[in-house]
Amino acid sequence: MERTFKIFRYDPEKNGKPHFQTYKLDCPSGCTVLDALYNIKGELDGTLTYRRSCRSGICGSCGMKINGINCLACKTQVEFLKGKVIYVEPLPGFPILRDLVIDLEPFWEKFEAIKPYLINNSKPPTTERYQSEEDQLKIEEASWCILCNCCTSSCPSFWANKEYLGPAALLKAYRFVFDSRDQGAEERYRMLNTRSGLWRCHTIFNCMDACPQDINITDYISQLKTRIVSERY
Amino acid sequence: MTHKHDVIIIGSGLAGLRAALEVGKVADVAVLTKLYPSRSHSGAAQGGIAATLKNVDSDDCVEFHIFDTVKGSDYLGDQDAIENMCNEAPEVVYETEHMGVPYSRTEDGKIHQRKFGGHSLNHGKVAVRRSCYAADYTGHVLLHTFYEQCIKNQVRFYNEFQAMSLLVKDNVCQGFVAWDIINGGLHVFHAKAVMFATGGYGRAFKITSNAHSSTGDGLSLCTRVGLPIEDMEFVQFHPTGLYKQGILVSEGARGEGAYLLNGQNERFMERYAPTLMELAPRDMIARAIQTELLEGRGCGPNKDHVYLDIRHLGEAKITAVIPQIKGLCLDFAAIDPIKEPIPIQPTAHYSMGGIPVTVDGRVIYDAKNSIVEGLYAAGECACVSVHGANRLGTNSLLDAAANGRRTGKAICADVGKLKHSELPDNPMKAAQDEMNRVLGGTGKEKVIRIRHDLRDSMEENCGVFRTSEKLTKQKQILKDLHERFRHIKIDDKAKIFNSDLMEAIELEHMLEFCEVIVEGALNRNESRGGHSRTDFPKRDDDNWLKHTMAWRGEDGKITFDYKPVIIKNYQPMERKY
Amino acid sequence: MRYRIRTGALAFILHRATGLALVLYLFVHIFSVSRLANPASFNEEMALYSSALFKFVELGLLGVVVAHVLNGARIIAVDFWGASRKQATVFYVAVGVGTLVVLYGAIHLLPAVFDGISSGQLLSPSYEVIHGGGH
Repeated sequence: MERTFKIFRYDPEKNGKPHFQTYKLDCPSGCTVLDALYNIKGELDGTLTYRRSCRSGICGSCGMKINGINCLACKTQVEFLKGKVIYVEPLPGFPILRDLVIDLEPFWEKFEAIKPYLINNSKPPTTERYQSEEDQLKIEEASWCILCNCCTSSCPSFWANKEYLGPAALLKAYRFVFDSRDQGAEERYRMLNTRSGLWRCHTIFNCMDACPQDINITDYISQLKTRIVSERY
Repeated sequence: MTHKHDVIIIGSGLAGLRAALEVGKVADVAVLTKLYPSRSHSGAAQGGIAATLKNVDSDDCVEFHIFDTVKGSDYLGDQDAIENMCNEAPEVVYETEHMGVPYSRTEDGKIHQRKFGGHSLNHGKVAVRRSCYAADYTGHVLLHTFYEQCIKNQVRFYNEFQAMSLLVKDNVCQGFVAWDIINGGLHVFHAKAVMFATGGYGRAFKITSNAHSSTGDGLSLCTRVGLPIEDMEFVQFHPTGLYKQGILVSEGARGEGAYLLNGQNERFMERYAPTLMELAPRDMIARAIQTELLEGRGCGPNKDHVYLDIRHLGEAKITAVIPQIKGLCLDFAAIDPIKEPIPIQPTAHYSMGGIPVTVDGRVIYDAKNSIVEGLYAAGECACVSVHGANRLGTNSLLDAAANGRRTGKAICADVGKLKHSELPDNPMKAAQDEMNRVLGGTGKEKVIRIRHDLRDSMEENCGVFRTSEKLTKQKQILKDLHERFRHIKIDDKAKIFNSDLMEAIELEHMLEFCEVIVEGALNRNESRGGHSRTDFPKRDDDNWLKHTMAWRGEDGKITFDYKPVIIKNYQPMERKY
Repeated sequence: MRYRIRTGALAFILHRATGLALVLYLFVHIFSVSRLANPASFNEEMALYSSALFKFVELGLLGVVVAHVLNGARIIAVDFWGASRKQATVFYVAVGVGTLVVLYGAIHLLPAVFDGISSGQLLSPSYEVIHGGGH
């Protein structure tokens, strides 16, 4: 079936203004938005620029705003998109490098700020550190985050304050603070318990609606809030 | 611009990051990737990482793991390398746990383990739970944990840089040239040691489980400077790729008890591997499926797929232990695997061959194991060879982690003796010429068409079953495609994020090493592991128990030499499951 | 294209809007209380407040208070009782409960409004003001 795509275009080298370009493409059943972009680029316009890699929803490269919602292009089936026109735009709230490619540096800075690694200074045993099934399940879903930035770039709190750590970094903080093997909670609280930390989350749920992994991000942020309040105050 | 580091690793998958962690302890190390580290395709591995931890099956032992790997490799694996890998496996896995990998746990809080294809107790008697897993996100959590540790240890990353040309003179590596994808422009990377961890090349096939980025660039970067590549004819086809898409449906599903059913609703593996059934090695199951399809027992109107059935596992178990599979089926095939069987077909998955290295990851340039100074490789792009002619499931994450670590240690041992060797006068010349040539093309050919013709023809003529006739035909097709590539035209001339140029460059890499795959396959007149010739259906140990080393000349002519297989405890026997 | 507003964002916007409305109401309230200097002004104001138009405004006030209170409860449920996954359902339940409360209020307040409209006296008191009473 032929579908119409209006795709955000911006080329800084051509001094052009950002604009939407229209492409028409035949999309058979099973065609994802990424497949469509691939064919548009290959057959219609080689200058169309976007990031992609695994095409199976695990690498997190192809996050973009499709019909007003952040999602992975590879996980979005064209036939399920309603409306005459399909709008494809870069993830909002970040500097745009070109077309659908954004500058991810601010995203990684925030990710690194919360010390996204296991902190445990005790000498490890010769086998594994034990962890109960129950404790592992607390962090399991949170560890499935693919760092696609669909959440942080969907967050109105982040749009309003670019210093805000954002849901992706907070989720990663949860994953370590709630890991029974981790001893770095206090260090992380110093980052989380600030004006641009945890408390900027206003439970708007755009992050959870956008998350391609369907992770219960807001709940984990709430648990971090409760944990900090009960331990600190 | 020139960047100087002690050690630079090309590729940020599991092997590259693991080596970086090791090297970072003693030297200044940088990692270069054409994506971002967390986007590497190691993250798509689902089922697990093999190690004889004995957490679930206490009868397991390293000896059985070694035997299974040797037998799985159809006796082409080098047994010294396999012994190293299997012996180190428990330590390697414990280390990953200490780094923070959130493994699924047993009731007593140990790392959980599940069954996987080809892994058995007592030399093939009964399937064993050896694969350590984190639900079906094992590769993902390993990759992310290694990346996190690299951040902790302040490893320098060059993200979105594409390696363009290797600088090797008189078998000494001086560094390489890379292209800054975001800003455009070439950079020289001057190093005492360079390590390749550039992964596989599934994208050369139509149906593949691999990422768009898995284009095997590292292999042809080596052949372009006169280095050989080894055992390229051995390509693994994973039996359970999602129908039409090729997206991986983890072997973990079969490890948890899934059935394979043909169009007559029959568990056809009974006829091919009566003992291990669905847990036979991948090459056998892929051939079994292909045979069912060729003999008209497929499913669906075109009889072009079979079913993987996990319904009997029940919703609770599916959601708990293989949640990603459920999601993939819903998102990409609109199938609810709790209610319906999953349509699957074999999918190009893994490259057993690659850059020849010693057991410690030092790249060699001839069949006598002569070492290229300052050049290393590990992971899927390397051929150690621990996988021989066919890799067992869960041995790839192990290979990447164990040999990444081992190679890292080798670099640590060498780096004190190595020096920054002098760069050539115009190091960027080869890379600049290539970019100018591709950008300046004025023909009519479109990259996407050549790419599609390449992968369709490789699938057709160099797939699960091969014949001399098909391979000869494919050899000619590749010549034609090469000729067409000389007449391409790309639309995009921009400096910033020119992915049009990138795709053309990747295509040329694939065209080059595909010639080595096809000629290697045509050359090897036997069937072994992932290489199955219907005109030579038997394994031929008298003539072919040896590794292929292939050189691709500038004119495209391929020459072969052979390296003996290292055999220690296990003499080749007939392979039955 | 504007980012699509779903239940969570809608609840967020409503919460801010009703919050601001309540602050505004508070100022009006303080202002009107501050004017109650003598019985005459008290009567005057009471007369105004019992008019049909103000009954209508009161209904609006009820709606604003109910929306703000229920969404506050929803946020507590999300933050402390793990209702994140069900936040949309909780939102719709809150909308349902809120609608019922406002309807109940309407049953009690709207007859006076209709009386006012039918008699054409929107600003006249809907009941007799007690003269000279109170202080």
